[in-house]
Amino acid sequence: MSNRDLSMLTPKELARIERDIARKHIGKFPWLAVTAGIGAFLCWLALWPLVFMDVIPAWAGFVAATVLAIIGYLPSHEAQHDIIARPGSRLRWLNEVVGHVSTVPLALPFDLARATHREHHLHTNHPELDPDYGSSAAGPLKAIWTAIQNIQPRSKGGHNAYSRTLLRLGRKDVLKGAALYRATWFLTLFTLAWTGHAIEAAALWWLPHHVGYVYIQYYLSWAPHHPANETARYRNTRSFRAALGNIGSLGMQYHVVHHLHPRIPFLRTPQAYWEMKPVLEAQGARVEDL
Amino acid sequence: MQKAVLSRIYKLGPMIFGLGFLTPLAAQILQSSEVPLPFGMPPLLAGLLIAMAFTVPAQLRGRWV
Repeated sequence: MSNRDLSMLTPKELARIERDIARKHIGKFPWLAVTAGIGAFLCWLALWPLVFMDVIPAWAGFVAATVLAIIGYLPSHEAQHDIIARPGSRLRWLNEVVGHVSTVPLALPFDLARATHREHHLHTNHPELDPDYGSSAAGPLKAIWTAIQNIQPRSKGGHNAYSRTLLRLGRKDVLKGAALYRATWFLTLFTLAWTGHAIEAAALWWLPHHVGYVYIQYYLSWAPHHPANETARYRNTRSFRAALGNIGSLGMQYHVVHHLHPRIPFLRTPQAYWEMKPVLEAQGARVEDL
Repeated sequence: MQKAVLSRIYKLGPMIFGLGFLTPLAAQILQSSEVPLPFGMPPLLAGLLIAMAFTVPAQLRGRWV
């Protein structure tokens, strides 16, 4: 690819090369996403008896639960895009199981995540229609503060933006399901707290939920779309060099490939990015930082 | 009717959370850290006072921070 002169090609021809590269990476079964999603959920479940029986201290449980809550979002994200199995296929049930269980530590309803994330892809950076637009901010510190503000009860972003999106889409079924999910989550926390396990509940579920939401908003919503002022296909997402590296940024350095070809499995996006980069540059994509 | 009740409950979210979770959480943190409480105050009452110090402003402002 690097030896080929792409400057003479039309956007249509470039798009065809790009699609050919993408096709090489699509359709591979994401074993790691499946095992990581179910594994993260099981490890998180295992933390409860470990902390309850004082095998590990609550603070260590908090650190582990937070990491698992954050990691768990990624397999769910694969399931949101039907990467594990398409609707109607033999392993569709596995796609749904992974999607649902991997976000339990984050206390995030999968159906809500799927419906709103699709809107984010359809309307990336649109101030009214992108449910994640509320995470946009002038810089990294402001992005963290904005993410914290988005999880407040009467914020304009976060869950309230998701509710508005679902109402606009006429998806009251998903909204009701999400409301029931959150009510159940709160009732579980209250029950644990009033039966003498408030510290354990805070360490293993309540705090990881909040820290996880802020971390995910920062790296999945803010960083790859900053400054979120363009909506065109090749301009609404960027590649970037994360301070915490590709693992610390949850692989979001290559998020531009995901927005262009959402069905490429998460773990294949770095390879796809490097193969596509000359084409993306020729298409005017925001790939100058990496 | 049902919608109005749910809406009222939603608006009271911080207060419900303060009573349902923060109060026992603060009480159990006080108990486990063995902090001496003034006036022989029970940990649950101290927990309620601490929780309400965060909850009442959150209820009024619609945000915790």
